[in-house]
Amino acid sequence: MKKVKRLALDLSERLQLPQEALLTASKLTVTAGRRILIENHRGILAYGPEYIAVGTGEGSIGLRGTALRLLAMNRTELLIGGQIETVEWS
Amino acid sequence: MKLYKTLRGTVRVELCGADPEAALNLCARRGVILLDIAAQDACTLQSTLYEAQLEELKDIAARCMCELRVLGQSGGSRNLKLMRRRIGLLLAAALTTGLLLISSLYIWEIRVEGCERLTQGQVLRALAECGVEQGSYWPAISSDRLRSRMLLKMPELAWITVNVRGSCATVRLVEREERPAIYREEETADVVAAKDGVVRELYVLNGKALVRPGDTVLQGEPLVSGKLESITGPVRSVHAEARVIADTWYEMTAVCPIEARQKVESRGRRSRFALKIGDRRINFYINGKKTLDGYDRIVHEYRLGLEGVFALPLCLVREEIVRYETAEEPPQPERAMGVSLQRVLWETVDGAVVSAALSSSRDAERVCVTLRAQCRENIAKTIDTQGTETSP
Repeated sequence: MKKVKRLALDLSERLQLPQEALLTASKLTVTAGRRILIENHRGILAYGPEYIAVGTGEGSIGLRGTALRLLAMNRTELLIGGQIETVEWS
Repeated sequence: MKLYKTLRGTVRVELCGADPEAALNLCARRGVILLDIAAQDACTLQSTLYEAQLEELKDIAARCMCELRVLGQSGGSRNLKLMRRRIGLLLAAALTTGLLLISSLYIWEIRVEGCERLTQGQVLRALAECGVEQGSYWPAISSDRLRSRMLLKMPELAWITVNVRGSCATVRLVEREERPAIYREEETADVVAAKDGVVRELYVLNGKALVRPGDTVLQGEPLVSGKLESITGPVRSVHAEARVIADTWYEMTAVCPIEARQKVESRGRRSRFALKIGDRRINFYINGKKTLDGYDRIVHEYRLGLEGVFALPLCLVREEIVRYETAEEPPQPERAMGVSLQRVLWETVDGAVVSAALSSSRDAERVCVTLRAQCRENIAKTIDTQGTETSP
């Protein structure tokens, strides 16, 4: 399975295709440090006003800040608002 | 968005359990839309969702071992329950909306833009004959057909267009430029003086000048001849053209009686109302046709609708009835008479006023104001050899 994933990753890099479309890799878009859109997430792991952890295919994303709030969520996308201070990718 | 939420109805809920995030994830997978999610503590979340998805959330909460508590409800079925008690209001709102929609298909206000020589009344009358008037069904109006008919009806128009927005029709028109005076080359004409004066400048375009700058001329005296003499051939006749600038003098006198009366408002101002629905008028008073001697009537019209967006066929009319009495005017009419004389002078002169002086005299009954002015203007007048004026 890992080999297939590696192959797809190589292919997408060589063909210069967007990985989030081909591999359903997570994509993070930050707007002015006050709004974060996470595409292709795998669910929320922790939720609080100062820390939100979101699961991704490759690990998890941790957001720290103040007054964090989940504005909208569906199967693939997740929108978080608030004053974002740090983003951790693990 | 707010209206959409109100129509669908929303519920504010609290999820309490060991892992409320699991409930969030399951909601996302099942398509339950959660809005405005706020964490109260590590085990408690508050969120808003659409009323129709509440049962789904209850099931999710049970699966995730969370306790679900409804905190509040707004819009949707709750509003419907409230509205059931006010069925009359609901019907009135629906009826008003329906009437507004139907009314927006008819023209209730017509604006005319671009009139210079033509009056708005003339244009409106011609439009009415072409089928565009208050109460016309505008989807049936063809702009091209209307333009063709209007151009045939009013040859003074260069083009016309009608834009309908809501119930307001805006008619934009451009008038045709006036044709210059056209004459035949073979028609002979002379230029004569239109007024008495002293010639200052002479610009002869065609013909032979008979006067020079500094000459004094009388009204009707020939200034430029249309007959050109030649030592080698016969006399040649042309259409004389010239611009002759001369100094002219005017003396105008106005006489008016010293005693004059003017209107003075007295007590007793009152209002009366009427309603105009389309062309019909409903008066909310009696004796409407009675002439009111000793009263002024000031009419204010308030049309219902949004300015420039849509208009309704309803117009509230307020008539102010103002009682007046006549009182003796202060006996100083000279200034007003002088201003009136100056206006008359400016309308008469085809050029500039160089200087003007007013003088007045009065006797026991009358005031006499005299205006003496020196002007510089074009006094050329073209007349054909038969004596008919061909151009100013």
